[in-house]
Amino acid sequence: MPMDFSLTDEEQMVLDAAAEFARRGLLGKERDHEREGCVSDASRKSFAESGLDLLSTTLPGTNSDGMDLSWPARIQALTILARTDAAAAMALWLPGTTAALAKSLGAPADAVAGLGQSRLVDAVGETSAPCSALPMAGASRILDLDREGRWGIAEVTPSPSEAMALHAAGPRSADSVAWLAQGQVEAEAAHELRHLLRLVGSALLVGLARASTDYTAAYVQERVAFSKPLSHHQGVAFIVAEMAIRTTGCELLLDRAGWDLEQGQSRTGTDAWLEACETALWVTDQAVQLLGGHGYMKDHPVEKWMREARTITLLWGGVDAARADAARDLDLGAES
Amino acid sequence: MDFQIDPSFEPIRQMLGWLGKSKLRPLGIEADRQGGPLPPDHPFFKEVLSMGMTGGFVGKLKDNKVPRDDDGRPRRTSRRAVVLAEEAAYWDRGMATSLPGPSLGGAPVMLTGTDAQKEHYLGMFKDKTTPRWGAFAMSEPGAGSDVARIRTRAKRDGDSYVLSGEKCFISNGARASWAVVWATIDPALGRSGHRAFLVDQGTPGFTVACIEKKMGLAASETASLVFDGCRVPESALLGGEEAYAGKGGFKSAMKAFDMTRPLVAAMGVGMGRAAYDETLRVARERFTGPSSWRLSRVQDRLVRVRRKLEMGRMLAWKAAWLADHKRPNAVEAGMAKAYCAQLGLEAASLGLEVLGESGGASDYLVEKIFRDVKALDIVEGTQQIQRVVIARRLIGYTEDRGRSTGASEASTSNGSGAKDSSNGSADTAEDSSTHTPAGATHV
Ligand SMILES: Cc1cc2nc3c(=O)[nH]c(=O)nc-3n(C[C@H](O)[C@H](O)[C@H](O)COP(=O)(O)OP(=O)(O)OC[C@H]3O[C@@H](n4cnc5c(N)ncnc54)[C@H](O)[C@@H]3O)c2cc1C
Repeated sequence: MPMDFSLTDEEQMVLDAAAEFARRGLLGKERDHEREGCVSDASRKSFAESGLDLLSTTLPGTNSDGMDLSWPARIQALTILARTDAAAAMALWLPGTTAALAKSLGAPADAVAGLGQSRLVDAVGETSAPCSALPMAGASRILDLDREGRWGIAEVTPSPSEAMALHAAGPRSADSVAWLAQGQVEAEAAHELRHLLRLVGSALLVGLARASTDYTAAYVQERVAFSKPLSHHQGVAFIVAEMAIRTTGCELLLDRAGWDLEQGQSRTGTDAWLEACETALWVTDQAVQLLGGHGYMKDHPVEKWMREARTITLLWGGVDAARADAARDLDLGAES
Repeated sequence: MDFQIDPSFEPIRQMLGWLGKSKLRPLGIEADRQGGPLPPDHPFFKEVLSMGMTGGFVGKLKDNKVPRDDDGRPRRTSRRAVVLAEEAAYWDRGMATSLPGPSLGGAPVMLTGTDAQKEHYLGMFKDKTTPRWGAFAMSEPGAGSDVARIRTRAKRDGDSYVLSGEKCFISNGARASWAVVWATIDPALGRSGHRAFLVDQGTPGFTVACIEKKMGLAASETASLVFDGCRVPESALLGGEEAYAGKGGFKSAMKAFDMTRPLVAAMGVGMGRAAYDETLRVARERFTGPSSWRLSRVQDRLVRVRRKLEMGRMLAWKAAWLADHKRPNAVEAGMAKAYCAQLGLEAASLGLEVLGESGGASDYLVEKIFRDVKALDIVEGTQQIQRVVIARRLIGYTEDRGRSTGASEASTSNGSGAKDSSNGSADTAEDSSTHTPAGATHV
């Protein structure tokens, strides 16, 4: 099957802008964002000024403002931000994506405003399920979508919640509340959106994996133990090589999933997510391990990345819902 | 193999269980929320002391000597210690390591100290009214696994030594009344240049640079220490000069780890069990109705963790049983330590998956365990170092010889790979040093 991951000049410019924003708007502010529990106003402003917010608030082919970038480019832009600060990237990117998804589900405009996070749930019922430590990115509405195509937008009264990670994306808890708007689409359409959303989540995880791999690779070449750099110990070298293999593979799978989406195929979004979950969990743990005691301290970013990977992989139904969704077209019958 | 613990020991375990439930766990959570350890003058420490609970090896010294342990009869000390370690870590590992007592500093004093040093530095813990701590200061910013790289210098000056250098990641290092501080009299001598000093808190030139902020284990104080022209008397040299014939000084440091590896393993089991219990509790609440499509996935995770916990516990107990029977246990202790630290993390990680989206919320204990337990894979010999040790013993693995990487490395560690100079390595334990001394208690 012919496949072409090359980027247009315009897309490359957008990626350069993402890198520039990550450098100026995020780099060095990660721990501040974590401590303050939100992304600074300055970073938000510079995100909007960079034009990147348009990428998150629209889906390809649906916008009318000239930012009709391909999925691979969008996903790469998000990955670039996540390499520097995945929690901030989530806070900046997710509300826009959630709103775009809600619109494509046919949600009324007044319900879409103020949306933050989305959830892939088992079943959308009478009331929305409570949430606990859900990164809401400063918003007060959540979008739920189930496997049958039922969706709902709930207004919640979130209270701050202690959470393991993603503080910059404002983890909040809320009890069950009534729906603002509800609807139903074809199960097939719902599945496409579920795959698509997972692709966005994968970008965050792959960014974390890349950051961890690169940081560790640099560290083990610098640090000396037993008369040589750590990188010259086979037990270390093989782990770093494996980190690189898995991360690179995931990046390519992400490109592939983006490409497939462009071709109207969405399932690889969920495949990319499942791989990204496995990879990010393993790679970030190895990063802490290979930095030893230093990795466990907050002076280095790797411990934060490990917490973030573990937390992000729990969102959007985690791996269980993804495995079930990925198996859907195997035609083996449904789990009851 | 007999893993029976005598019935007279059961009340001790039960008391620890009671303490864990009523104090260690809630206080551990409180410390975690505050992002740092309880202050040393927190009433809990006095209370726990009055109950006779301590952290680290105080042992029962007889005339300041470790009771002879060479009558050929097996002991139960190690088996008891692993049971207590598992129980304490089940409730809160950070709190368990911050209990007043000599901590990891106790073992070298007990094994190598002179009578006068034992009397003074261990004797102070007999006072059950004032909480006190000891510390073990080996690691440095540039030397962790490879302890031969330590650069803290001890210079002889008349009848005293002057210490200069930096130590990092020292548990209870800021609150300790004293620390066993490892230094080198000459880096060119490698391990035979190592000396350990008993340095009192407040000695001029000895300062606490900072308390580290960590991923987890907030209840356990981890300090950076600075020695800047810190003068200590000759009598502060642990064990006196004769203790350092050959590589003796280094051996005494490593003996401490020989004792503690099965305990760290047991802690991994304890923390994994805590994650498992909490996960099962929540799962039972959530999966009540007609069986959900997720049920089998949840069950798979739980039965996997349950069986691995059993396996990890068996590995730790076997290492302890061997120690109690004075048989070499380096391989088994390494296996237990390497396996159980990872097992603890897996239990917490899979637990989070069962809890789902809300797993990352601190309302559930599991996320805290996930952050706390990662440290076990690093302390007292990383999982890599354990594997080096195991592979060396089992299949004669020798690491390729190190190449000097520059001037600063030229004089280190005789160019050897991770052989017998690693933090947590069992490889000094050729002899009976794998045995926990009689009467030692450690939680
Ligand atoms: C919570 C906590 C408490 C601690 N308490 C104390 C204390 O009380 N006293 C004290 O002295 N220290 C203490 N430490 C320090 C601890 O002992 C060291 O962190 C540990 O020995 C690892 O050393 P390092 O951090 O320098 O890692 P490094 O030695 O730099 O190792 C980095 C990585 O390289 C790997 N590696 C190293 N050599 C090899 C090799 N030959 N082959 C394969 N892989 C290799 C390691 O496994 C690790 O993954 C503590 C650490 C922590 C996290």
